[in-house]
Amino acid sequence: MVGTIGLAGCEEDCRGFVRKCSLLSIHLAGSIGGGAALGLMLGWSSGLAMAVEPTSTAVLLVPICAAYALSGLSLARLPQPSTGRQVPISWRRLPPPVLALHYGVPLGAGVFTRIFDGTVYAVLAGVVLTGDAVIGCVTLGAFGFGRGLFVFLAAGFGVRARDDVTPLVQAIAAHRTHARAAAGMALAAAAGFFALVGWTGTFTAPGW
Amino acid sequence: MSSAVTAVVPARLLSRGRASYLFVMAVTGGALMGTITLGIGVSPAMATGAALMFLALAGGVLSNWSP
Repeated sequence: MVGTIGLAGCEEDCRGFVRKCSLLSIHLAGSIGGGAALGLMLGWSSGLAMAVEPTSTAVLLVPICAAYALSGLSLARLPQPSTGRQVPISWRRLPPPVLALHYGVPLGAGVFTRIFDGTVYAVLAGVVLTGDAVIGCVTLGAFGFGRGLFVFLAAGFGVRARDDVTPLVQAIAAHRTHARAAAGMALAAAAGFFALVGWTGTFTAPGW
Repeated sequence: MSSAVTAVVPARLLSRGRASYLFVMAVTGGALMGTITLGIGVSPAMATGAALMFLALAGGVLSNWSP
């Protein structure tokens, strides 16, 4: 949701660089926190039910990554379970720091809004399979960091006045198909990586 | 709150041949990275965790393009 650039940054409140960076930092922190919290809960709860050993995790991730890589590169059609909603529009009336935090947390978690590509499913599957709260926290925290960092950098460097927001958002959104293809390639590379690790790991058996 | 399962049909950016080529190249590149990672002594468990983290990071950045 690239429109977050304006909402989390400075569309409504563009009163200087420090103010903008503070809002973007709050958004970034919320994004990391949202992802990390979800990963912690997911890893912990799946660990109570099961914990697949690392080599098997890598092997099981291969078909998931490969399938969504094909989808990202428009070579296959796959279902993408997702909530069909965005963050509530009423949040736009909140004070800017609260707004930035409210946008950061659900977007950083990734699953409470529309899902763009298959990387989310692969990562969630990886966290569930490992059944480790720390790995879940770090992994989905990294997802939130990536999501918030992009907004931080784009709004931090690309927006100097309120009028800059819409052209920037439109310019970035124009590359949506490129982003999907890039996600497909990242998933394909992950599939190759996990296949190699899984194949090699069958000869050793270390734990997490 | 509504939920939906959508069969996503993305706009075609590349021809099938080029997309297939990129897929194979990316898989090969990933396998090569795996070989190097394990070759320098990283355990399969650590390599899996690290790859998952990098995939999450890339996924987080790219998720910003969701509509």
